[in-house]
Amino acid sequence: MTVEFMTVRGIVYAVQGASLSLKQGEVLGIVGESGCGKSVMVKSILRLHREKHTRYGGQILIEGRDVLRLTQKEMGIVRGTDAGMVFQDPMISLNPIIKIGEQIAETLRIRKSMSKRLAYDESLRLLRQVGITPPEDRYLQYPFELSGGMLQRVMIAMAIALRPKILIADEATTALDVTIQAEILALLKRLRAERGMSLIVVTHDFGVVAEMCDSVCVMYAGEIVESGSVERIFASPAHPYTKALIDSVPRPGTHGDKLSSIPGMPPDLLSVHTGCAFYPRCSVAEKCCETERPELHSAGGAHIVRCERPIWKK
Amino acid sequence: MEKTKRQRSDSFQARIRNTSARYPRLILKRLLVFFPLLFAASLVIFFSLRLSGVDPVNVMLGERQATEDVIFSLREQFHLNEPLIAQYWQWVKEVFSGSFGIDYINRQSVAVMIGQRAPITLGLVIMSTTIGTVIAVGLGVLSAVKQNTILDRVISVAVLIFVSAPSFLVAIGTLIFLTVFMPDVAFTGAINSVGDYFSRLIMPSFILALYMLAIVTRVTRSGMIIQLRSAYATAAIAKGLPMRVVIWKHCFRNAFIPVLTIVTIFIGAAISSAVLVESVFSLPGLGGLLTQAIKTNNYPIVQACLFILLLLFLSLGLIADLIYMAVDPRARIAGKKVLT
Repeated sequence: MTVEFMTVRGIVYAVQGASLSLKQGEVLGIVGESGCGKSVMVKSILRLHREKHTRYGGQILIEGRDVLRLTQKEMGIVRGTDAGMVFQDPMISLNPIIKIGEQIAETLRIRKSMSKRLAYDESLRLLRQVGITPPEDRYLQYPFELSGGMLQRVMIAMAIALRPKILIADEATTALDVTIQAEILALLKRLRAERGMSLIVVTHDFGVVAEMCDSVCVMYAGEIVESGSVERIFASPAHPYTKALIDSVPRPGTHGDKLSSIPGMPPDLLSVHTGCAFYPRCSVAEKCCETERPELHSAGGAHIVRCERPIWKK
Repeated sequence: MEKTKRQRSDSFQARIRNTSARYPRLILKRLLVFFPLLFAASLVIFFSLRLSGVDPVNVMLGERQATEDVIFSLREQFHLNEPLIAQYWQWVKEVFSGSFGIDYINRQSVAVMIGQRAPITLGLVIMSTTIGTVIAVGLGVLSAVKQNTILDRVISVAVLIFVSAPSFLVAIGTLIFLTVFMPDVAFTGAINSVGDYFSRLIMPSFILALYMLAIVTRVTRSGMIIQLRSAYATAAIAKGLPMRVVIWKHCFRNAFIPVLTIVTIFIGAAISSAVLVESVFSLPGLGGLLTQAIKTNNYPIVQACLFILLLLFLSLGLIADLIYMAVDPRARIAGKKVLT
């Protein structure tokens, strides 16, 4: 899959040749620094970018149907039923002047042709399911009357209202404080189990991945640089970027040691890079990495890495 | 059995409707501002007129000569021999009784004269504001949704042309245009029926509406563009709502809040421009009455006209604030205006 944006400053190559697959009920993590194309990639699944300035390439198949080939009208049916999405900042992702209950119920009325009464009851059920009590009172409140954690629960209720097959959590816990973060993650886990949904968790926090996911994709500069099962990647990260990311997560028992970080910034995606995108920041880079674009290599089974000098070779 | 079912559905309706207990209190608070404002305005109207130093008796007599006795009785009759503050009190009483006093020249009830003319001005202001808002909002939303297309540009240019042209020019031009192409419909002339009323008012209202068109269109457009790009709009699309619902229910209601503020400001402009437009279309509105009365120092009429126009201005502002509260729960529940 590729996603490119036409901007006044030129074409942004936001996602390049990214490929991933998701099985039913699977939890997939997508990790990377800010500006690596994680959000852009998952938003493309629902085609949420402004069509006029966006060029999609490749294909996105949901149960064999390519969403990139659908008309806007058909997209309207995919959104919410094939995949639902929870966004980063719940404070601004809900309409400030519409009651939260109505924001859930309207989807049910419009998309499922439910009567007012039915949609109301179903909304209360959804609110209860995401742990909002008492739902009858909360239904009537406006976003500014609720806390961030509560709003994120409402967002989740909204996203699962049409029983989507995939739930995408785009940095869903980033804007929340740590205790609330844990609650939301637990809620997502529970809902996934109850409803048998697949889950895509976009995050920059490897801790979240370790807790939630079955498999993980690491993105850098619009490319997937490594993917595989969580156990495998934690045990033996193949890409130097993955290793650096994992090392930068604070761990209990390492008190006093300096937390490692990755020097530098991800590259500007306005230009296509020659060679490896991670080259300028890589600790094990060699001469050929500057000019030769690394290929995808198998590091054993489903574990794939885009690096010519993977760590395990050393 | 039947009764319990109805009760249940009633309580359901009541529950999903907004039952904020603070709403009435806020309206009350807003009204508490309304009346002192009206009072202050009435003071300014009354006393600023007295500053001119023209003796009302001279106005009444005009060129005629009169004996001391006549002058004295006139002063007596119009309470002119009393201190100013008492005269003001007299006027307040007249306003509350709805008579607005007797005018100095024709010795007619001011209320009757105003009563004949106020509907024209009132209709003009209300119709033009409504027409202007509806057209501007429609154009604004359309150009925001079709942002940077040819349609968007055409709307911008057209609106700009209409606004740049002086309104008297547009008024006369439209009048000529319409009388040539629709000779059967009388757009000017006497008003004898309700149908007449609307056919006489529709065109001047439209021309008055042009005043606000450009700015309100612009504010709507930029507001809508911001709202359409907001996170909640993306979320609304993501949950599978059709674009139509996202635009009108989600984005427009948010974009409308600043639009309402601008429209309120334009009501004042519409009232003052109405005077001009009335004279172009020879409509017997308050404008003609007011200018005539100012020329002849006919205080009771001037006072009454100004008071009615002010009342109109403040009332429309009040209505705008009530709509504001209805649209924005933050203004209603938290009791504060949220600037967007």
